[in-house]
Amino acid sequence: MIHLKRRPLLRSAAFTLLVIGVAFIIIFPLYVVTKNAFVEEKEIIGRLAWPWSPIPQTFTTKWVYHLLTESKLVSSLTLTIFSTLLSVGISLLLATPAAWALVRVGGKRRTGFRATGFIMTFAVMSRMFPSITVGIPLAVTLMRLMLHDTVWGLAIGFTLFSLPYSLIVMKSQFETIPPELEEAAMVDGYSRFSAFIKVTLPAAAPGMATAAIFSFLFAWGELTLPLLITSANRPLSVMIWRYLRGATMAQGSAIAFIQLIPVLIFTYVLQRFLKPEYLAGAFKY
Amino acid sequence: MKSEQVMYWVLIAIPVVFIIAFMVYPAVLSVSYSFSHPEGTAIPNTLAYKQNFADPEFSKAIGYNLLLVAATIPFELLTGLFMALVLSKQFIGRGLLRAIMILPITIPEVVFLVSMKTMFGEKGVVNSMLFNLGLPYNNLWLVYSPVNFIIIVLVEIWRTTPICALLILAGIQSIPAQVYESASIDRATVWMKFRHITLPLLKPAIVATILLRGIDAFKIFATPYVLSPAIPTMTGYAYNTYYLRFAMNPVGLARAAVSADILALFIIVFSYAFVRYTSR
Repeated sequence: MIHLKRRPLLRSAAFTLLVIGVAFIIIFPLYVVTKNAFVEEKEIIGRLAWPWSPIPQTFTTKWVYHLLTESKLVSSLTLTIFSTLLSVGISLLLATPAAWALVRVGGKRRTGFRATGFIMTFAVMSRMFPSITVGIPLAVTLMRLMLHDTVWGLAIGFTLFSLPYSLIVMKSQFETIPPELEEAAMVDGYSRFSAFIKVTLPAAAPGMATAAIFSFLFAWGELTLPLLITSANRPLSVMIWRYLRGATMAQGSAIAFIQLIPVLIFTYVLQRFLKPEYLAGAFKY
Repeated sequence: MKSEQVMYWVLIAIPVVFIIAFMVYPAVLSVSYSFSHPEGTAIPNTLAYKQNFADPEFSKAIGYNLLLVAATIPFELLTGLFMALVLSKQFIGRGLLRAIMILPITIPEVVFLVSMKTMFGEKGVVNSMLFNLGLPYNNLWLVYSPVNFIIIVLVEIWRTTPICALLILAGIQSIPAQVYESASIDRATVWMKFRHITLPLLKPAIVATILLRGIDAFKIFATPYVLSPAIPTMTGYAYNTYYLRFAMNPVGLARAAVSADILALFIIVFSYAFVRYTSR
């Protein structure tokens, strides 16, 4: 009997240790970035770094201050914010009605069903397509359109990956909303499209929130594509990349720290209603 | 009714046209670039392909790219399966663990790389700790040795275990509890339940995770590029060839396009397999 009683205690101790261990492994690198952002350069690379200490030995806010005052960094920050928000807007604006239309078309006729399957395959495959194959020719295309190195050009690049993703998420969201809701509104005199706006769209809010947050995160952290399609106006991720490749790790860390803040906020929001299948793009097993 | 159908197809066509204009068209351009080496006798020609395959750096990039895929996926699958099994149990701190485990998925790769460079850089935390412990240390063993390959694999496992875990967890949660109950009545042990119920029923989820992760792993670029100049990848090769070695001239464009197109071919095959497998 004693043996049986002790086991749950041992088990919960093992689980507690595991939680602490995993939390440490995941959070420690983020702590390092935060620490780096507020110390002198020599503490990261240089004499003071030997021996390295997890506790900050120096303190300075100049790296974050630079980011908020130096014109080049400020323009990079605003470029990142605007292009990211723009791409979230474009993705949702194009993907939401299309996903709804796909659900309405797909259920009815054989051709509609075939076409829906084909478009969803196309969406999944374009979501996964490598940035490097698109990036170099896209830079040339954007130059011809006079959009190269602008907020719009960058937003188009980001949207390439968040649009198919939003389409996949929104389609599986609309599949859960019964079409009878819309038809009831149509009996009351609404047209099909206004019934969609007034009735179906509010019911799809959780899916839209997921699509919006993930679109934001894709664009906010994307490195490869902006590296290829921008040259003078670089977003934050490319700025960090350049500091990483150079010597001034502290300035790079300060940018990384600023970049981390919205990610942490959105992750907190996301984990409350995240469905695991949305991670893979709403795939069913 | 007729106009409704027209509206549906117009709404569907808008994003499709967007993707064709800014993704499919550039991808087709990329293929045409790969056959447009300016020193070739006629246009189109395959000189860029010949030059790339004669370049030892290119073979090395393909080799390392495949090696990284083969080395990371089994481990992250195992750690992911383990974490998924843990998360499927009831214990104190489960919600917290699940919340924390989303972080590596959402954190930008560069932010994480800043931290990894601080740790594994020449004068990084690891070297510093070895120095503190009085152990032999060398500034460069983290940069130019097989150890570096292991570090890149570990870093990738850190980044991708959570996504594997959450995908497999979704599979575990779809297994009905009655199956386990009837196995318990037949006095099945924990191992027998895992081996004969969980694993076979998880097979679709695991295969889907492997394919999904395989696609992502082929595209690996930033981690090896930052942590080791000695480990090239296909994306890194294309980037270096176009921007650094040939400074954006047509020769570099053709040769970078070769690397990018071969990578795209891998991805197309894998992602098509993924779609076919998951939509069954």
